[in-house]
Amino acid sequence: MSSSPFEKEAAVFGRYLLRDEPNAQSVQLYVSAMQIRPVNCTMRDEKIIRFALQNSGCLAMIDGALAFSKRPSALREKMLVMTAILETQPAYANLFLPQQRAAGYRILMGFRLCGAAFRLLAGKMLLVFI
Amino acid sequence: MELHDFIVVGSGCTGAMAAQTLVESGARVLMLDGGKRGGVYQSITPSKNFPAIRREEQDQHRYLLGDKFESIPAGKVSTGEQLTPARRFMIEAADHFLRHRSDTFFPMESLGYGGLGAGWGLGCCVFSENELKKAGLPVAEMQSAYQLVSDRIGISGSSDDAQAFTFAHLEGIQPAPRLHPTAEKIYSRYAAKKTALKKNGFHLGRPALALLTQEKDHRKPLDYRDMEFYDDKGLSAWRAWITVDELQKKNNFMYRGSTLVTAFHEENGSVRVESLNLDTQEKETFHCRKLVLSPGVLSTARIVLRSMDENNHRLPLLCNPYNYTPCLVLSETGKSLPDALTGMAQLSLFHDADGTQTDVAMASLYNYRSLLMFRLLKEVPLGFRDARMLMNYLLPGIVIMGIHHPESAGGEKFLHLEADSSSPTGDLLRTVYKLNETESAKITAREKLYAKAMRKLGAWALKRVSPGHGSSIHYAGTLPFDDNGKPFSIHPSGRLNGTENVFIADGSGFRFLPAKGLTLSLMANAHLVAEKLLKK
Repeated sequence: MSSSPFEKEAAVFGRYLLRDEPNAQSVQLYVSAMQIRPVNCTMRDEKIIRFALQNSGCLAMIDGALAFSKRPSALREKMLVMTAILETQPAYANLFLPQQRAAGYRILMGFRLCGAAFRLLAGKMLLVFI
Repeated sequence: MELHDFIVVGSGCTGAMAAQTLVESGARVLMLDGGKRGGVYQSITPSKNFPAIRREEQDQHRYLLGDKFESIPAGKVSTGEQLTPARRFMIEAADHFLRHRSDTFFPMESLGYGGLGAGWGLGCCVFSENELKKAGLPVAEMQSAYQLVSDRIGISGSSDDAQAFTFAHLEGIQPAPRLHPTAEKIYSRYAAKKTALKKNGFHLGRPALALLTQEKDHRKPLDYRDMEFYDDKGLSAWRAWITVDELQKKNNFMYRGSTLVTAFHEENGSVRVESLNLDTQEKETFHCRKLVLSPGVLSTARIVLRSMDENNHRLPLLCNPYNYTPCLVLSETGKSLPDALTGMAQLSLFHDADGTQTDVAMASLYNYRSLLMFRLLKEVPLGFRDARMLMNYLLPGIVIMGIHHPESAGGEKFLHLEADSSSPTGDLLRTVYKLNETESAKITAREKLYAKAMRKLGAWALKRVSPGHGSSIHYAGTLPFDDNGKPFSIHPSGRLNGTENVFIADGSGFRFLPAKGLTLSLMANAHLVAEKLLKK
C-alpha cells in the first residue's frame, strides 16, 4: 500500500505510462525527485491532479488534452519526471530504445493515433467539468 | 607585489589558445579563471556504449538525469536546458556571479574550467574572405592562424560540397566519423539532387569537427559509444581544458581558479587586476605587464565597463539568431539503430544565396538518441503514453536541424551595466535584444527555404522551435574593431583602445557574426592577439 502522496502519484503515473506496476526503484526515485525539486501547483493544477489520481482511468484523456493545449501544467510536469525516471531504468529500456518494426506496424500506429485523438477530445470535455 | 608578465583571463577556447601561444614562446603566464569543475558524473559513467548502459546499468539515472534530477527540464524551453548532468558544471554559479537581466535575451555564460568550450558542439568552420573582411579580421593572418589552431586541436572532416564552408584549404584533416543511417540516407539523396539544390544556394556535406578519428598525441580516436554529451573518455573531442591541463605541466604557466576578474586599472606601465574570490567572496588584486581578456564577450563587457567607470554606456551586441526544427525521414522510421554511433553533428547544410560566401546560413543536422526520448516527448501534442509509442517508432527517422543565421549590427541590440546591491559584484548586465522587422522576415523566409530543401532530401520539417534570443551561445561585437582609437573599441592588434596594456582575445571585436560555427575563428584570433602581443 502506498505510504505517501508521492508514492501514490508514482504508482498511478507508472501504471499509466507502462501499463504495468512500476518497479520499486522508479517509485523511490520519483519520491526523491519530488522532494528535491517540487513542482509548483496552482489551485487549478491541484484540482486536476487530485481528480486524475482518484480517477486514474481518465489520466490518458486528461494528459492528452493538456499536451494538446500546450499550457503549462503541473500534472504534465510531474509525469515528465516519472517518464524520465522510467526511461533510465534498465527494465524499461526497450520501451524507449528504437526497435525494428514490421511494415504492418504503421497501421497499428494509425489506430493508436486515432485512439489518441479520441482521448484528447474526451479529455478536453473532462477538463471543463474539473 | 608580484608582477606577472602576462595575465590571461578565462580558460575557455580563446583563453587556452592565447595562453598556449604565450607559454610556447617562453613567456611567464598566469591564468585567472572561475575554475568550476565537474568530474563526479564523468567518473561514474561506465565505458560501455549508450545502448548497453541503458539495458544494463542500474544507476544510469545518476549520470543521465543527475543526482538532483537537474537534467529534467522544468517549465519553458530555455538556454542550457539541453546540458547533461556532466556538463552542467559549466553554468554552475554563473547566475549568481555573472548577474544578467533581460526580457528578451537569455545567454549562457560559464565560470567552468574550460569555459563554454566544455560543452562546445565541436564544429570548426573557416570564415570566407568576405566574412573575415566584414568581421574586421585580417584575411592573410587568419588563414595561417586557422592552420595552426587546426594542427593543435585536430580536426576531422570530408572533401565534399561543404568543404568550402568548413575546413576549406586546411591541411592535415582526419577522415570524418561514420554516419548515422538516417544521415547516410540524406547524404546519398543529396548526391542525386545536388544540381537543383546548389542552384538554390544549398550545399550539403560532412561538418568539420574537433573530433579525432585517428590517434593524436595522447588522445584516442572516436570510439562511437554515443556518450559524447556525458563524458570525455579517450579525449577524442577537443576541449579547452585539455590544453589548459597540458599548459599546467609547464614551469612558465600558473593557473588560479575560483577567481572572478572584475576590473583592471593601468598604472605606471603595468596593469592592476581586481578580482573576487568565488569561495571566500573576498577581493584580491594581481599585477601584470600585459592583460589578456578572454572570459567571453559578455564578461569582457562587464570588466571593461566597470574599469572605464562607464556603467551606463551602451555597448552593441551581436548574437546569431538560432532556431531548430525536428525533421522526419519516413523511410527510416520503425528501424533499430546500430549500437555504434556518435551524437555529434552528422551533416551541415549551408545556404549561400548569392554564391559569394558573404551571407551564409548554416544548419547542423543531428540524429537523436543519447539525449533521451523524454525531452522530445514533452514537445509532442499527445499524452505521454501515446507520445512514447509514437516516438519510439519515429525516432530512428528523426533528424534535428539547428539553423544559425548570420548577424550584422542593427536593430535594437545593446547591453549596459546597472547597479545591483544584491549582486556580489554590485552590478548586473542588462541586455536589450530585438530583431527589426527586416531581420525577422529574412530569417523566416530563409527557414522556409531550409524546410523546402529538406523536403527535397526526403526529410519533413515537423515543428519550428525557437529557444529564444541568446540560445545560439554565439556572442560578439560589443567592442567593435576600430583603428582610429575610438573609445569602447578594439584596435586591430587586439589592444583595447584607450589602454596601453590591455588586450582582448575573444569575439568582442567582431563587427559581423557569420552563421558558421565561430569557435575556430575565435581561437585563431586569440592566437593572433597573443602573437602580436609577443612581437610588441
